[in-house]
Amino acid sequence: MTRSRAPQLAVSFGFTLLGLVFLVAAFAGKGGGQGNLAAGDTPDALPRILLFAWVGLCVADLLRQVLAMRADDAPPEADEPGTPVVLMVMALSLVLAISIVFAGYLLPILICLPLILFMTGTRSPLALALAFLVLGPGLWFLFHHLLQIRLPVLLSGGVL
Amino acid sequence: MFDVAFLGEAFAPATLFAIVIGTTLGVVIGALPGLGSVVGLSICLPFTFGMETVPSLALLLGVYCGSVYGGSISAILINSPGTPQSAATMLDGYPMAQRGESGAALGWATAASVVGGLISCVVLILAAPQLARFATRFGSVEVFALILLALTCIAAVSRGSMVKGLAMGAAGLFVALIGTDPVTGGARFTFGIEFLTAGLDLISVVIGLFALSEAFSRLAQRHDGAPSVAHARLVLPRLSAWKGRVFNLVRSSFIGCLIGALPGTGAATAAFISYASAKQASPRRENFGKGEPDGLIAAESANNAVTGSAMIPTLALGIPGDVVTAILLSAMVVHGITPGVRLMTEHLDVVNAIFVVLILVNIVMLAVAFPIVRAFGKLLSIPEPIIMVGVIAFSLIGAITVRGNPLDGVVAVLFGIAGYAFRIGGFPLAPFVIGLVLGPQFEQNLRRGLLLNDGDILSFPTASWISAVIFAVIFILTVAVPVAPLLARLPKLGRQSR
Repeated sequence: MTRSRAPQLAVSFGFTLLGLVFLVAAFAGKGGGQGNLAAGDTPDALPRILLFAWVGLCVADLLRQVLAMRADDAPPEADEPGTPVVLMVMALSLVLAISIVFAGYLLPILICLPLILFMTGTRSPLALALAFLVLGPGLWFLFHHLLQIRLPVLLSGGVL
Repeated sequence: MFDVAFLGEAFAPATLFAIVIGTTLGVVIGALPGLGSVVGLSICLPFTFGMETVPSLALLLGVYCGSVYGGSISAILINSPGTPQSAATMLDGYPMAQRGESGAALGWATAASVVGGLISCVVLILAAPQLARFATRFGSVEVFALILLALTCIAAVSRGSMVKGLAMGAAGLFVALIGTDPVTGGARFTFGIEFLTAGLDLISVVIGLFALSEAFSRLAQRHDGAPSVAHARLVLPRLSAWKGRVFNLVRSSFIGCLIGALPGTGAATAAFISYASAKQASPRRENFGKGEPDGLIAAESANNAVTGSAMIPTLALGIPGDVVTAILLSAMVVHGITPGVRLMTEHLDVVNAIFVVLILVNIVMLAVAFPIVRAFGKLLSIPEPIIMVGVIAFSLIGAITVRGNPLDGVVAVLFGIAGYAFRIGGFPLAPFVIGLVLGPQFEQNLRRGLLLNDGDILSFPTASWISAVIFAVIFILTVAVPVAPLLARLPKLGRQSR
């Protein structure tokens, strides 16, 4: 099977771009104060050095990948991009995490967990029900009530 | 007088309970393909937040050592290593199982794992205090150089290119600096977001990068139904069967110890090097790959010997050699223990308790292996998507309970998505996490070093003989090693152009 370089290149490009955004912010922002200028010590010095290293190394890697693409070399070992299902699971996990901030742990997990289980291929009603009960309300009960490790709640002192 | 108070902590009922539970969970997690030591530790972290320091570390050490051994069960029975560390175990373990000797193969693997683990505990107990005593000579410049060296080594041996590894290390160090500047108290790279002033929580990032991205990655791959496993029973080898194999066991364990102590190498490398070495030395070398117990002994003793020796730089220098020890170190931070070169002097009781716990974990591992092997068929019948959804649920709970801030759950998912993208891009995750763990120390020592050296960073390599040696090694790794092959090719290129 021929592997494509495009996904690797896209990730490298995105990672470089992220570093660049931070680099611009490092020079545009007010930073963390003046520090000890006599010792050449400022709060922004190390972040800037690291960001230059991050961006510089990423640019070098991008160039290497482009040259390798021209030479038609096989791309190095990496995971293959996933199916639309995994993208939906990622999106739903993010929705779940954001919902927990506003609605506590229990309500969002009761809604999102069956959806994630169904999307990932759990079709048997028994398996779906068992997995939902154990991983949803079961974990809530274990952590929040048995272990007394408090999970976020919708109303303070409330059940949900 | 020698203080033995740590024995009370190590043998406390809570600690012993944590060891049994942690080791059992670890072996189960290791035995299930797709879950490894890092995912296991990530999903077990939330259980430790309400615990005392020693029991919580005992639970995590149990998970760590148990999972390294547990990988051998699936490697032998279904020809699929539960963890990457057990890949070499498959080479001889599965052929033995195909011959109907699965019980014997599991027995050899278990015995070798336990002995390898115990030998590495002895090495850890002997070596760590010596290294820690030497490390008390280290000043800011030396610690700064040491962190730089550790990151360079990890980037050099990580999967993918060294350039990508170094970029990830730099990014990890940078992300660690987001938040409030420790000297001036000013906010850095918070973009006005109040949540970021406290910095990103290390454990949430680690959970996202490893546990969540692993779950996403496994869900993205299509897997056929779970393989069926014939009823298996573990049969320990008789003492007489060890005749002619003890030297292989001891040598492989020491290879594991040596490799484990080096930053970034890990148990998989140790197992393969040890396997190759055993194959060369064994009088039965022609049987290797066809179900030879010597191969199993070499692989399993070496990968388990890594567990103890990987703790040497972690405990003596406060510098984790891999992601697993980085997670253990971050668990220590949660319990108020600051990593660093003075970890052993300031928290000697905890470190001594860890030594005892590691020995106990290896003994408990032997006991829990028997029932888990018998139940392995049932464990495999749990569909992988359900396990992975479980990983997502545990990861979210772990992230939001560390600081009691639900926004950490969002951070974990975002880093989970980023980790998944990094896997596609071929970027190694270990340098990022090690950079993240060591970032605050790195900055603190750099700035203190600059103050002591009048702001002259160029004087760091000549600050002491220790820093000179460390910087020389960094130079060799980053400049000489990559450039040498190019220089060697120059005469050939010249001849070709003529």
